[in-house]
Order: sequence, then structure tokens, then C-alpha cells
Amino acid sequence: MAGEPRTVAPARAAPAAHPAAIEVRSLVKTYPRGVRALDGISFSAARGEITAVLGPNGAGKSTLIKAMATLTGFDAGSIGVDGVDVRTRPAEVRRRIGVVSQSYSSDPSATGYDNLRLQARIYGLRGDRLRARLHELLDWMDLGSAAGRLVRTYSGGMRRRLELAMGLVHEPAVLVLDEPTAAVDPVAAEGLWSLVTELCRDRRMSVLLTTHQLDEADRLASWVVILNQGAVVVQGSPQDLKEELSGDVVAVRLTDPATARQVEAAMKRLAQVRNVAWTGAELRADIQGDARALGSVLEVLTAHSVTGPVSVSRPSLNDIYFRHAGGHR
Amino acid sequence: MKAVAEHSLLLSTRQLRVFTSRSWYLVATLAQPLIWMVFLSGLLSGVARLPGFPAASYPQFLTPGMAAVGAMFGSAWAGLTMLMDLERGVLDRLLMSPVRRVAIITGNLIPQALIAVVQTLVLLAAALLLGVRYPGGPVGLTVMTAAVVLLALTVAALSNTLALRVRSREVQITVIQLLIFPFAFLSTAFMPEGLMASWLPTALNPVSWVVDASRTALSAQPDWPAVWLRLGLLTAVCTVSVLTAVNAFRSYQRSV
Ligand SMILES: Nc1ncnc2c1ncn2[C@@H]1O[C@H](COP(=O)(O)OP(=O)(O)OP(=O)(O)O)[C@@H](O)[C@H]1O
Ligand SMILES: [Mg+2]
Repeated sequence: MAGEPRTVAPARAAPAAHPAAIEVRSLVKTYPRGVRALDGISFSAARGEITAVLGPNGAGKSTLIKAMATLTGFDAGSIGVDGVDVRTRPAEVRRRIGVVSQSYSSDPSATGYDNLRLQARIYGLRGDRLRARLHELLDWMDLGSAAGRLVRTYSGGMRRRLELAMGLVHEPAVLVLDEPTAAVDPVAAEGLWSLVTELCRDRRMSVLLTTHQLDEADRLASWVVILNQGAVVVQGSPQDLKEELSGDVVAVRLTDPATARQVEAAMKRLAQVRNVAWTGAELRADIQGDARALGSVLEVLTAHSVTGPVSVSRPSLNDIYFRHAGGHR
Repeated sequence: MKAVAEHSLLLSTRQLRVFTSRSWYLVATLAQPLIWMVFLSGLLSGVARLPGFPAASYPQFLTPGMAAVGAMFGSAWAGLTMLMDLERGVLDRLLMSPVRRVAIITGNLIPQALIAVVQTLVLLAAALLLGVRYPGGPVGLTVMTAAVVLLALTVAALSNTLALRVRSREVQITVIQLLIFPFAFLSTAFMPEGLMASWLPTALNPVSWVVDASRTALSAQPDWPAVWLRLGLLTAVCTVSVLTAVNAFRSYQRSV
């Protein structure tokens, strides 16, 4: 997956008076034992919008977030958060960014209220303002009745909401969420996203999130960055990315490994097939052209006596993802 | 500076909650030196009859030593609290917030200092019952408490440094166990220097500095230059230890 990262649509240039929410330039980060987690990443996240970072496990998403949140250093490149340089003014960045980490970071041996209160005090809130803010957040996150309980007695979803409240306590200009819906049920995830969208719209908060739910990124984000092995493989708006795949996608389940190999090879020989990718045992072929192209693909399947269900659809963000972030068997 | 003080206070209050919410823990912490005091006084009572023994009774001799060793034993585990915060992600959250690095360390150290003070006062009161007297008066007692606090801070800071560098409970516990007993016994806490082999490096041991400064400050005729020298050494070592601990965040942050 080497080569120049491609931008499907022209990269948006932010006017100087309104710096991007996040501006990442040629970022390189190597961990002590030589793992190159980020290998020259560049992108920018627009103000007041939601930017999604996608990529398989180990792509470097969390490392990227830790670097922009000043937790971990980096070897080369630069990051600007709300126009502030992470390397030269880390203290200022910390006031402007709110982070919800992939793993928990609240103290399980304290109550939800105490966790939130400590966080608020750290950012200088006190007195009536502090109480009002905590009340508002607990209300928002639907944690009011559980606030006095020890966090270790919370369910996974409650704990996630508390973490979100802690990230929002100081009304950050930029909110960064690392897989916030990973352990959350679909209804709660929906609630979380409507809240985040609302913050974006009403308070002009900028949001950067990572997720494995491609439909989430498709629906919420105005810009999508796909990472793989520490590099940006493609970025663009969900529409642009989908338009890039103009043809159809033929999906077929192939459980027998020998047939699977033969079909894959035969498909790749077809001029109209642009790409073949695997989602588990499902083969997905991007095809270009009219009904005749579809016909020759179906002929291949018939020739190998494939009898399972076959579907033809328009490409989804999934197809873009599998195409760029691996998925080859 | 104001922010550092405020944040230290916030973070130390958070750690002290462990003691207020679990009173048995507090009792155990305070009782430990008392238990040692009683059984060591029994075990080593004959030592006081040896020629050249510098005190009237063994408890009289032992009290400052027990205070120093008790503070060391208690604060040596401070790094485990840091490790717990590290494992739970609490430390990462703090490092991404406007809290100053030094406040994260002092927030961990202040509770240790407070515990050391209470432990010392309880010990001093209990020792009165064993017939121990303090001719040095309030000044002597203040010197001793200050020296004990400096030692507690130093040991706690080193324990934090170790925690941030090794990041493993097993290693942390093993190293602490390995170190605290030599430092306790190769000091003047339990035995006068004159009764130990002369090649033992007791004079280089900060525990000895606390004990020696306290003994002379608590006596009827304190040797003030000796007191100041040891308090100065303790202050220097304490400062270096705290700075080393703050610096250990760098190595930690390179690896997260
Ligand atoms: N503390 C660390 N020390 C050494 N290597 C690390 C560390 N954290 C991450 N890595 C490595 O860096 C690479 C990127 O990891 P990262 O956690 O950023 O991936 P990710 O995209 O967030 O993955 P996931 O979707 O699984 O959360 C991986 O190869 C990982 O093994
Ligand atoms: Mg991750």
C-alpha cells in the first residue's frame, strides 16, 4: 500500500484567518522498539465539521490522536490544533482540545461526580460555574442518578458517557474521539452521535473521530481519512470517495478455498474488473462498464459452478475501505 | 506557581481519599512502626548495657531511628499508586490536561509527607509510655519531623521514578523489597555507629542523616552544625529526587 497518498477531491485550503481545526503535516512517529506507527501523514480537519479517521487495527489511529493531544512526542512533521502548534505550545493545545481515549481513563475507585469534578477543577472551573457545568453534563449524558456511585459499578456504556463528559468539561474547541462507540449499544451510539452533531452545529465545535463503523463515518463525517500502516492511503468527502468507484460491486460468497482461488484469478484477468477484495469469505469485485461487463463476471461464476447467492450493488464506503486498507486474502 | 500549588492540592486530596475511605488502612499504616518499636526494644534491650552505648535505654535510642525507617517503609510504596494511575489511564488523562508535570509528582508526594508526620507524632507519643524523654524540646521535635518528611519525600519520589521507568508491579515490588532492608539496617537507626563494623557505609545513607540529626537535636546539648549539615544534605537529595521523578515523565511519554 505504498505510494503517494491520494486525495480524491482537491484538498481544502483553510484561509489564514481561520486555521483548520487540526492540521497534520508529514507526521512521523517511531516507538522506542522501532515500530514506525506514523509514516508521514498529512491531512487537515475543517472547523465546525466532523472528520473521520478510518483504518484497520494497528493503522496508527490512536497514535495519531495521542500525538495531537500532546501525550506522546513525534519524530518529524507538525501538528496544529485550532491554529496552535503542538510542539511549541503544548500547554495551550491542552486547553483547546478535549480527548476521549480508546481505553478508559476515569478512576474506577472514585464516583462519577468526583471524576468529573476533578477534571473540571483542573481546567479552572469552580464555585457556581463548576456546579452548573457538572449538572449540565451529567444531565446530557444521562448520568444524573448514577453520579454518586463508584465508577467501577458502571456499565460499559455509562463509563463511555462519563469519559465523554470528562472530555467536554472545558468546552474544547476541538473534540477528539478514539472509537467512542466501540462498546456502546446501537441506541446509545445513536444518542452519542446526535449529541456530537449538535455540538458541532450549535457550538461550532470541531470533531475528529476514529471508528471501525464505516456507515458512521459515511453518515456523520464531511471528510474521511483512511490510514493503513501509518500512511494516508486516500482521503476525501464520503461522496467523492464513493464516486471514485463509479461501477458496480458484485459480491459472492465462496466457501471452498480452491474455487475461491480460481474465481479470484479469473476475475482479475477480466479487463472490466478493477479490483477484487475479500470480506471474510465474501469476494467483492469492483466492475467498470455496462451490462456486458456484468455478464462476463457472471460467466466466470457459472464456469466455476458457483451456485451461492450473488448480489450486485452500488459501491459503499466499505468497498473503498477494503480496496485501500487491505482485505486481500 | 499558583497553578502548581492548586493542582498539587487537588491531586493529593484525591489520593488521601484512600485513607479516609478505608480506616483499617490508616490504622495499619500508623501501627506498623509501633509494632516494630515494641519488638525491637525487647529483642535488642541488652544492647543498651554494652559499653559505649550512647543512650540511657534502647527505646530512647531507637525512637528517631524507628521514625525514619517507618517513613521510608511507608513512602517506598508511593510508586504503586502512580502505577495504578498509569494502568487505569488516569495518568494519561492528567498528562493531556493543563496539570503541570511537577504537580502530578507533588500530588503523589504530599500525602506521603502527611502520613509520615502523623506516623512520627503517634510514635513520639507512644515512646513516652516506654519512658523515652525529649530533652531537645519542641525545637528538637520539629527538626526530627522535618528530617523525616524530607526522607519520606525523597523515597516517595524515587519510588515514582522507578514506577514510571519500569512500569511493572512485579519489578517495582521486587526492587523496593530489595532496597528497603539494607537501607534500614545499614543505618544508625537500630545500632550505634561505634558497635558496627567500620567498613559499613552508614554515613552515606540518608536514613542515617535523619537519625543522626534527630538524635542530636533531641538531646540536651544539640550539635547544631551537625544538624544543619544533615538537613542540608537531605534537602539536596530530596530536590534531586523530585526533579528526577518529574523528568521520568519524558521517558514514559516517549513510550505511550
Ligand atoms: N506504546 C506502544 N509501544 C510500541 N508500539 C506501539 C505502542 N502503541 C502502539 N504501538 C504500535 O503502533 C502501531 C499503531 O498502533 P495504534 O494503536 O496507533 O493503532 P490503531 O490504528 O489505533 O489500532 P486499533 O484500531 O487496533 O485501535 C501498531 O503497530 C502498534 O503495535
Ligand atoms: Mg486505536
